[in-house]
Amino acid sequence: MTNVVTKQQNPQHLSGIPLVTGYAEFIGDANKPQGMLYAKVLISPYAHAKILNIDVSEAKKFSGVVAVVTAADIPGANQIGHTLLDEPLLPSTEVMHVGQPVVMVVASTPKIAREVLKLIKVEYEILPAILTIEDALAAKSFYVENHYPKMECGDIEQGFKEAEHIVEGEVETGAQEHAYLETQRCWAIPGDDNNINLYSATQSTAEVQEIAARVLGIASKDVTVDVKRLGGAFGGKERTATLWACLAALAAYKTKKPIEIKLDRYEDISFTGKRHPFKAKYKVGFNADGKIIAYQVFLASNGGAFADLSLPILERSMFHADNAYYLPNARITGVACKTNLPPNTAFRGFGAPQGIFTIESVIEKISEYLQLDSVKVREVNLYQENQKTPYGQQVCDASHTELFARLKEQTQYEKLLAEVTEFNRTNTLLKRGIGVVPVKFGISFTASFLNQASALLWIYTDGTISLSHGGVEMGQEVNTKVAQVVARELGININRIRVESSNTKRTGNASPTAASTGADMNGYAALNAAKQIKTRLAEQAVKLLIEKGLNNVDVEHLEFANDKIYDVRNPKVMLDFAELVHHVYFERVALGAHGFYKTPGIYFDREKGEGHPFYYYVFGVALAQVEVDVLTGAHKLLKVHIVHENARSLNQDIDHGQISGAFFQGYGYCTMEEQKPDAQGRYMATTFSTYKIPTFHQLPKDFAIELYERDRKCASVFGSKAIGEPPFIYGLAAYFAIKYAITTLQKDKTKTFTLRMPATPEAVLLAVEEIKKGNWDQS
Amino acid sequence: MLRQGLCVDFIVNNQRVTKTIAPNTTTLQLIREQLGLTGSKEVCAEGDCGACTIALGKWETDKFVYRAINSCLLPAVRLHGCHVITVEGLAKSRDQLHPFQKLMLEYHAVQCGYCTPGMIMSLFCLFANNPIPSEAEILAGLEGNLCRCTGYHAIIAAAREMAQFVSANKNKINQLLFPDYVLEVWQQLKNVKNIEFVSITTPNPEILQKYYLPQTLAEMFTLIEQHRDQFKIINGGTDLMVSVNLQQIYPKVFIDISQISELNFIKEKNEAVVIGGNVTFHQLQKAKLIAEKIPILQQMISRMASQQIRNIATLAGNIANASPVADMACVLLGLGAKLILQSKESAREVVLEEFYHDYKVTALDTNQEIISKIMVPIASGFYNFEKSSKRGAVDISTANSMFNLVLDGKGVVKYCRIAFGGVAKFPILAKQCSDYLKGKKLDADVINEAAKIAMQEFTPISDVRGSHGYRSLLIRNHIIKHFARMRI
Repeated sequence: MTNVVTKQQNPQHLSGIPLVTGYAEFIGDANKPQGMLYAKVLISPYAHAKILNIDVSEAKKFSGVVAVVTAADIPGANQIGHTLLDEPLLPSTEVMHVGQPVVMVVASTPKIAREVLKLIKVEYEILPAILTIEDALAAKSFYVENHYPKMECGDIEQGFKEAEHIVEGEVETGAQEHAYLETQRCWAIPGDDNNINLYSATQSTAEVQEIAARVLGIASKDVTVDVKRLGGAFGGKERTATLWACLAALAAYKTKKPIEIKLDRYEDISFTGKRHPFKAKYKVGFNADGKIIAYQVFLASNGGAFADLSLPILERSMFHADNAYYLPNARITGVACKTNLPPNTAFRGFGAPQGIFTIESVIEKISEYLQLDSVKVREVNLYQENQKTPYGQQVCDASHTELFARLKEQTQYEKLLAEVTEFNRTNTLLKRGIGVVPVKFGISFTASFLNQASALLWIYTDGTISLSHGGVEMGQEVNTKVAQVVARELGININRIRVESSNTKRTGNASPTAASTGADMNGYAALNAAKQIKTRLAEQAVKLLIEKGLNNVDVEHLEFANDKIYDVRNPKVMLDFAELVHHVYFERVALGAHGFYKTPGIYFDREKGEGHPFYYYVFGVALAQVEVDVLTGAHKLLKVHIVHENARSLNQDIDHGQISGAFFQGYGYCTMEEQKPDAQGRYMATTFSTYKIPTFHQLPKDFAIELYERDRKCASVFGSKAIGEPPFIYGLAAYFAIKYAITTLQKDKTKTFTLRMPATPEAVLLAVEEIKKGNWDQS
Repeated sequence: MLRQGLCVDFIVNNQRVTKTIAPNTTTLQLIREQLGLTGSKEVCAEGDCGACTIALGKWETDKFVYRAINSCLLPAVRLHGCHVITVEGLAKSRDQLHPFQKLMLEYHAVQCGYCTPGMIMSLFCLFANNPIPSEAEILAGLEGNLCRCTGYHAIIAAAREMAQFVSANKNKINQLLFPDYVLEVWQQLKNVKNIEFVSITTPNPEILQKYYLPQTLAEMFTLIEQHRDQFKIINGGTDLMVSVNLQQIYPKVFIDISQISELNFIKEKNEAVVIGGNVTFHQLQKAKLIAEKIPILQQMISRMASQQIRNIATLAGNIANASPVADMACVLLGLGAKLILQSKESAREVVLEEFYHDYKVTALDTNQEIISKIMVPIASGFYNFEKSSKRGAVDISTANSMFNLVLDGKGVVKYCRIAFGGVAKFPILAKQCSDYLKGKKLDADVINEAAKIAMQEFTPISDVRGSHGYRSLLIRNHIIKHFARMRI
């Protein structure tokens, strides 16, 4: 199965033709409205400072400048916070991070707007800044006082007493840039009745609507947010987009002109938040076979200047602190640290990768300690059916044991291991390694109220369909999948369906398109709408078929398939879908429906740290093989095999693409994507020439993805499962493969070394040096 | 001969465009903002992502050739006499997609679609020049295009099938690959004269400026004299346009030397290959003479930048830009190259090690000189180039090194020259290390000692690409690696 990308029979990308011909409109691609103005922001150059004075007099005089906007110009509340109300749109007294917008210039061209920023004088008094997790912990710099979430099971103290061995340690993970290709942007077009239309690159139309209204001091009904598609998002446009949309809205409101705000790449990287860096402290008790008896972990995240989504992200890291492993006795605690960095935010995985990376590092530690193959240690700890997680949810459809077996069979694991050992015995400058990482990923928003969705479906009299739903299309093809659900339910060709842009007028109060739930929830909502109409159509179809001379017809035996409607007992007499719809219209039957869905049976009690927060879990396991050059620290990815448990995929091609793309993001995260602030709190890699994401060159020769499709008890619409985030975890296998490779250099296996994450060539070479020093000291 | 405010005349897809263009307009700005072709995207504005890739076609002697170009780095005035194909120009209609567009959809190689237009144009240029590319050639053709969604897997699969598809239809390659209007376009462009000088002043005098495209050295030197202290030479422009885009640095006057045919040659003279001042990396990569005489240059060029950049960036520009980590500067320094610095009145020869004086400071008198020739001695003995960077491909080096060693019949080092980049303010020779090695018979101890000496010779800085400590280790290990390669 070395190359499993094949042409499938799955429906193609619903917007495929405009996308490949170049006519697809992203925000900023449409013809510009008359009189459009351009906004640019002057940002704080300091991580933390008091604003003493802002002088915009020179800037205002410059030809082409239409407005210079500060906090004083905000008509409503100067507040764009969401989970906590802690973030001003434009600060008036204090800046909290480098890159925080302080003044906005609106001008006739983007160049003038940019030039004019130089004429604005802001006086600051620099204040001490907190940049690291260590400093924040020492200063107790948190978003909420005395808020220490906890999840606990069994008896942790007793567990440590019973365990044969105990190891303690620390694990650190770094920041990651979203690197969506389309930067943050918004068009704001004033309406004719104290209203405004926002074309915002957001994953959350409802949030932008609510907060823009708050900032402008108008009502939600006066703000329309519309998103046709995004050029990638990955969580980076869930909250972050709100700031830029509100600035555009403010500028449009003030000038009564259409506004474009669009970040350049270096602005986007310098000003906006990343994946949270984490620091974890753990203690693990285990037996001689590697079985974990007790696991205690404290997860601290670097959340940046404002709460943003740091609290739910921390919580998800805790929910995934177990990954695929049963922990009979566990205590999971954590804290989100408030620092003076741009507010870190959602990013594919939403904290789970950091929690999972920690326990996977712990598993490796146990394997080193016991000198066991780490795959064996993983296997003895895998969840079995109905075992409980530390937060009390029973694991349904626990698949890992069979997935491991499948992966080992597919990769001929024992043979591969022998080959690697032999290669390493005969090569001194190149070393090979294997890494295996499973994933168990909980699907649902952990804020239970967000697990609701709406869809609006219209069938026109020619039998074609307009479908709106709450999901935002950002490349994950939520539109294709939701349209497939409707097409399948109504038995029609998908080409009959147009999925409309995500718009607050057609789909109000939409939850963000996030947490991998887009296709599940919006698919179900659309299914609900389709079912309502189908019931109405069916009643009429029975009448029509009787008119056509059939006498034995009823709704129960009616089949909608291939654009036809017929009674299964007499399939030769059929109605054409368009014909039926046309008829039904004249019978004055409603051809529109609003569908609603809420995920059933989920809850979580935060006080007790207990509940059933996830509708179901997605399972999988990946193997990566690498070759490390011990002289340069560089590595080559040789082989990647993934077995992904997917229940019944709605569209194998889409899921395949999501797995492959997520793997590469995860791989970049742990091997090359490095984003650190300097001592002043400024990010250092602010362009694509310094911040490196994987290219075609990293694609291994042997890259195989198997969708392990089975019927599952716990799954979503049409027996499918979510796909977006879980496969990100597979990329971590590369880190452990690199670690494996350089561990072979170590003569004294009881010694330890540190391999920083991400395992850049620098990190690897420094680790190799540490090992060599250890070897040398010993000999 | 010097006319002002001339129109630029070119064809975009099947549309002839005759326009006065401001010199600071990039091709991407022109096609998106003035021609309304918004398929090409701006993602990084510095040639790192390929989302703005277009096919730039022109007559090269008797063949009409298309090259993939990052349109964000190409001054639009340079389009004169050219054919630009953008992604919008490939499909006949919605129902008649270009075969590559069709395959991209069939393979589900499109997710968010933001990289797709650039990806398709890179594929088009790859196949237009090389209808049945090998696996390595596909990779080289696509390496300048980033995608954050797909993980590339499906795109590569689609590209492989394209190669099979084209090879199964060898008799009608042109009909398959090229839009049906190209033959007429090629005919039309046969008759477009070389552009005379373009000189346009923008409305805002603060942001400049004039753009000249001299055709001869004599014209160029006249312009240099006229605009002393104000001009900037632009050649490939892949560094200069990045500073225009990112730092908003607008020179008052651009003097573009890319069209001066006197500077475009590769020839052999006195045991050296002589390369003209506007020869591109792509030309070097394709030149038979280089393949025969200095094959390492070609091996090395394939590890440098991307196809889009190689198509337009020049060797002289890479040297003059004086980046401490410029790969080519390091290779040439290791090979003992010399430069001819030419002014209107005279020409002088400078060896490369005396060209670099300090960080971005060179011997070039930028007020009157250009690099007109690069002379690369035909190397003998063993040579090897090493490059270390974060991503390993299409990435700027953290450190690089070039190694050239000749042993006598008894295995004693007769000649040794080692150059490093990224370890000092400019590309530099490891003199103490090579001095140590001269006259030595090689063994493990000698090699380790040489590596140690090299490491002590430099005090590299820490920056975003790597720490001091890491760079120091790389110096030592590169030396060991060069010797390790020598044994193979």
